[in-house]
Amino acid sequence: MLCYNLFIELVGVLIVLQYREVFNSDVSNMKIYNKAHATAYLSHKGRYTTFAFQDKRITFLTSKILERYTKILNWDNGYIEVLCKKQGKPQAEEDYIDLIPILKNLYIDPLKFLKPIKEVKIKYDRNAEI
Amino acid sequence: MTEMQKFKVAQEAKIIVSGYAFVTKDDIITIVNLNKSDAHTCVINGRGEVLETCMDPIEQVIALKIWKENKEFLEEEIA
Repeated sequence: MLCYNLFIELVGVLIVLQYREVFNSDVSNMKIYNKAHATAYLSHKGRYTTFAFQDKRITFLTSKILERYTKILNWDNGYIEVLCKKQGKPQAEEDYIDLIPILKNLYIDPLKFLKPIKEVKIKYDRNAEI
Repeated sequence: MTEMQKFKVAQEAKIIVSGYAFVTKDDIITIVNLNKSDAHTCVINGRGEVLETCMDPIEQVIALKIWKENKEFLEEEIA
């Protein structure tokens, strides 16, 4: 009888441990999912820069001599400080993009659009112009 | 885009063709698709060069085609 009780307790502990692992992995997956859904992507092709967040893509005219964005330095609710490589310049230079006037011109509510964005990354397609 | 905003755009628009409203200010033309619930807008200059947009490329082509066909009605009348 004692052995049986011990066996039942052991099974119970194993089940709890198993569920805890599942729960923890769900929580971490959820964090990854939320992070991916809070990330916006900056890229450029030809003379246009694209800022993409979820299913919305904002495209705007950019500098003629821009070769490539290299690093996001700071994201401040619509104001992006970015390092970019420009034609004829040996080193990457700091550049600034203010999305708020662009969003206003496009009749997009800046507060509503920018609020869920927690992070901005640079993302180029394989076939993007360099 | 709220119904109120759409109403305001429709009132400001110089012409509306196939649900696309054309609002002009100086040399800048803002094209707004009034058929969509969210913002589908394209800002172009007088030469038809896209300056800012949140339309997809196919919709841009449609909007620019409508603009080309009707741009004579957007020009300022000379008294």
